[in-house]
Amino acid sequence: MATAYVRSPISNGCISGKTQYCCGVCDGDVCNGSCGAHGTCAGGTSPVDIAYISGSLDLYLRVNYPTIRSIKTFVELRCCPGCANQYRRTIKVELYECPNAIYYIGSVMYAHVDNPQVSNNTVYNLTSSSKWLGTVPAGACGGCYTGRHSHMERSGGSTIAPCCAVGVTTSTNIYSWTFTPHAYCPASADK
Amino acid sequence: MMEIPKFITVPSQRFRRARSESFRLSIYLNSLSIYLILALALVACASPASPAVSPTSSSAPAETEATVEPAKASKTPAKTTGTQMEPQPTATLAPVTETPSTASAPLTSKEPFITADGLRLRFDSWAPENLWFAYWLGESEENLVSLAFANVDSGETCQYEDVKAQDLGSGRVVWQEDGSAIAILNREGKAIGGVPCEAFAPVDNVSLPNPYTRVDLSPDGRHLAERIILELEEQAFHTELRVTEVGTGRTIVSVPYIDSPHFVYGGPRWLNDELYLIGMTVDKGILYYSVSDDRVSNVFPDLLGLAMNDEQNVSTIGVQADPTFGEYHILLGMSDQGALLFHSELDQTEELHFYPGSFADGSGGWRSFSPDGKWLLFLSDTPVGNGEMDYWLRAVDPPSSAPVKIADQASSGGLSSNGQLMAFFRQGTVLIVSFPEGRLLSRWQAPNYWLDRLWWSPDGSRLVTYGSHMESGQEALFVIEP
Repeated sequence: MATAYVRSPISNGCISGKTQYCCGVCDGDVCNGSCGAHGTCAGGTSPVDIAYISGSLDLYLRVNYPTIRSIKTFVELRCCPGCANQYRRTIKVELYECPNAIYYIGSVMYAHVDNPQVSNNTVYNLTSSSKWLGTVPAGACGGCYTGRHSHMERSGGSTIAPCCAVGVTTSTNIYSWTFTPHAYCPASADK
Repeated sequence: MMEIPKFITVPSQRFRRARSESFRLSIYLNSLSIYLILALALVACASPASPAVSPTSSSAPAETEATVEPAKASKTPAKTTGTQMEPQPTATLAPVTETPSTASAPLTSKEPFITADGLRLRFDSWAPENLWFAYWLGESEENLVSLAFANVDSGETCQYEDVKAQDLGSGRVVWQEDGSAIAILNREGKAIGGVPCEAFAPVDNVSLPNPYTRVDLSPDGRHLAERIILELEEQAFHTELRVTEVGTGRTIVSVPYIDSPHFVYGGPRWLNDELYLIGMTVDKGILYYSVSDDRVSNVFPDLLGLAMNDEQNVSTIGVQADPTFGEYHILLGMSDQGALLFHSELDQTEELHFYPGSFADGSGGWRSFSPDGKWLLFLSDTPVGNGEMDYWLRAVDPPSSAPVKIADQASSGGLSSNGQLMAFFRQGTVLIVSFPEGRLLSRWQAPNYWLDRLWWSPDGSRLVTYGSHMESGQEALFVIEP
């Protein structure tokens, strides 16, 4: 078996929403939160919000490379209708076992992405465990964005994020996908 | 070589009336949190009733050999022994000037104390007597999970198949002073209680803290501040702050504002008898209330003498307050620009060119001030640029105190409950550093597992750390005695 992990996109943050929003403003709550249902933006499941605390505002895809060798990104406006693009923008990242988007594992979606650094419908072969996706926007828009944070959803896999109010860093696992690895990548995939 | 962060002191225009009044040397009542009151009520209401539920477990003699199998939890519970296989950390103290990246403490391997065996697993909490911890096991995070306990001395574990929470993240355990535990199974307060690995019985009339309300009594006991979430509009929390006079019951101020789950600050809380920090708001900036002036105002222009526009760059607020003398410090994380540290006793604001870190462990919260209020934890980007951070410690006072690097290329795991040890993660391993000296004491790894969160025992003698297997994805808990 092999397991693909996606870690926190924010280098210094705090869990502020799981199945419900966290009430305790990162100062104590039940694990899954208790301040209202936390909806999804783009058809994913198991949303996780990570509040930005300090440090870099950059958002990164962080994975356990080389278990994940390539990704395919989809940049769309699928969240917060009626708000400015930095709140609406989502980046869905498909995860692949081999280079050139071969052998799909699962996908993760990031919402509220400013200054996107990847292109729509584009394959990237990874050379390290991180890929710069964009930045965390400032400001607010209605009830959909009320402070700097990253919203995540997944397709497939499991949620292993910490509980509400727990601090997260670049090493904190958020989602995982366990799969049976292929014996080898196709020759053109250069595994 | 990392450049030592710089400190710049800038003048402030403090709210001087509040300051002078805060200097009174009187004996204050202790500040009481409503959570403490509710916790006491919970104990009082805990009245075990039949029928009892027993863990479906079997006992085994205590194992003293150092080579027993690690305890494993499963759906078919059994009392097991384990963890006497403790490799003795033979760490040698590194020189004070050495940071964990260059020190040579041995790397000790740990085997799992609890493995999920294909199930999902979540650590809940330590018992106050430091021997037991509670955790939850289930087939998936969305479905019913059952309560389990482990004894870190004997290795005994047990699982209550009939004590179910609705999903992996909804149950919680409240420990009692007598060592018993009450497991709260849902949001309606369904609860069951007992002694770990013995019979459990339903508990009636459990009073749960209201997550929408927070109540704080002023240090002198004269005023009560209530923060009440009135309405949830997705992630916009329509909230009201009310301050009442305890003696008369008269509400002296009512402030509506919009709160957010993404605001991280050490409040709302009383800074002293006169000032109540409301904190960050979505719609009105960073607010505080002055009792003596009966005025709600913004922290930046009033307390710090800084431009109101700068408040929008604040991402986190930390507070250290001394209720005896009425003095306080406010730490303001400024997005990606560093931080500000306000010293009320000096009426000064320092500009810090690094970022607030947290002393909190996996139990949650965000605390950049050490529990004794003497130290600040900061972090800075590493030259490597891999997302991990360098960690710095400095005395809160006096201003411009020199920082000392205590860990590099790491992530904070939290300060021990006794305030003597600090844990860090680096690439899935755990580093233990003396506090506040910053000596590397030991390093711990779990082969093939990635460790990324931990919980210190109440006495600071042990920690439980969570790991996920890098190939199979299996979850496990490890017990470390640093």
